[in-house]
Amino acid sequence: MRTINLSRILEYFLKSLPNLRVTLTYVFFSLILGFALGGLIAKGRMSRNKAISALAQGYVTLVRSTPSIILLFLVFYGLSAVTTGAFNIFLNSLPTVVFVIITFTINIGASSSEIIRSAYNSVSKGQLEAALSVGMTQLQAFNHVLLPQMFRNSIPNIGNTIIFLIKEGALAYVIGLRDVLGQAYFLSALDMNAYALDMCVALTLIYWPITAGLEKLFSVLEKKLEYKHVVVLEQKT
Amino acid sequence: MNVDWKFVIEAFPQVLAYLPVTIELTVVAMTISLIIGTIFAYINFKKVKVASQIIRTYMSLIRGTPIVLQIFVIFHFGPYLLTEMFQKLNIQADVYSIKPIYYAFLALSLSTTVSIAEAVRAGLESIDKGQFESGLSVGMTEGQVLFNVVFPQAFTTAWPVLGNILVGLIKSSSLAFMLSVVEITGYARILGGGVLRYFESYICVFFIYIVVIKITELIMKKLEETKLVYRRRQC
Repeated sequence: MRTINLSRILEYFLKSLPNLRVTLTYVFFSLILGFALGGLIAKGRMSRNKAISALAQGYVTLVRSTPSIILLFLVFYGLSAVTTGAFNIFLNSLPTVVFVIITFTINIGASSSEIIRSAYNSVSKGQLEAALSVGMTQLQAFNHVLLPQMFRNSIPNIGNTIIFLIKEGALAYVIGLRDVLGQAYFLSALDMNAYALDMCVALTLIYWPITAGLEKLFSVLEKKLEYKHVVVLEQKT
Repeated sequence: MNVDWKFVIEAFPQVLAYLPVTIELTVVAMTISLIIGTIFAYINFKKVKVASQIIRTYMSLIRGTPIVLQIFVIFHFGPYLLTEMFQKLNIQADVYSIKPIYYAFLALSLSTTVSIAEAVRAGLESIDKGQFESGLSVGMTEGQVLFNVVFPQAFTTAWPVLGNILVGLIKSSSLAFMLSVVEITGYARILGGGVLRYFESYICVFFIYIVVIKITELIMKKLEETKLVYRRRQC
């Protein structure tokens, strides 16, 4: 009978936990870059130009129907093949985490464009017109009137995106990234996977509290900000 | 290394030949999850004392861990657990003759069950409590009320979400290669590994997934339209 050894779990836990910073690195960069790309695509989809709108729509459809692992493989193997063939640039020395960030930027770019679009539509058009009529420029109106409300409305979606990234990014161990799961897998392979179960328990103890905590945090945040919104409305009326 | 488009054309039919495995994975995992997920949703909805606590913990655990980790657990722990069980029950069977695809069914249904349970529960909650009571008061049994009154409406409400879950499942079925199941991703990996043309073989998989998911979405939409007509007539 194989038993679970507590001290071994602790060992795996302590040895993989420092690699959380790799996880956080790609979560942070993919989130920022992905939302920047998503903003552009959302703008493209709402554009009056039919060609641009169709292009943005096509991008979203294409990326949303690709499994993340296939996208990861395509970026990892394809990007260097294309750059070597076309520009004679070798990407082999780039750290693996860069490929992961590129992959999830593409992925989040598609899903966040939907988030941004629905957030934009949730703010009533009258507000934009009111802001323009008091003499704000288009940019000012967007920054001071629309953006704060859009951000508040999309907080639950942003939380879901972060949790999705933490969980889905663990896939990157197949291209050799040493994030939390990758490091634990590597350590377990050193022991010939004899204690794989202890590794899995240790990983659960790392991932579960983080994602459950984030879920809680974002639901609290959502409620806090919503409350403020209601108070402001009541004062006005 | 340049992109070899001739290899893509050559590889495409070979990869496509493994599409039935992907479809089998999806259909079986979806059926299992639909049944178990609905039971879970109903238990959660009725707030059965201990059972709903256990189910909620299970759902939080599955939602809180990466699917890769769940696959690891099944890969390393599944055969071992089955061996123990067979020894306890005195069954003479070789655990290692079980095909890996059965483990993949389990791995894929774990997380899909959770999403379906949530979608169906939301559907159940959208139904007026009065409908249960009126159903019972005209002399239907609880089972009759559930299957003739409640579930048809709950599934109509949950239909778009169920469609998204199905698409997600098709996408996650690509992870079955970690359990050494040879479906389209697994075969592309083997094919690409043999001649070091990973990119070209994954391009084929990319195209296949896009077409399959587009067709699935169209079918779900068509079904939704017929279902909505049904709902309108009912009103």
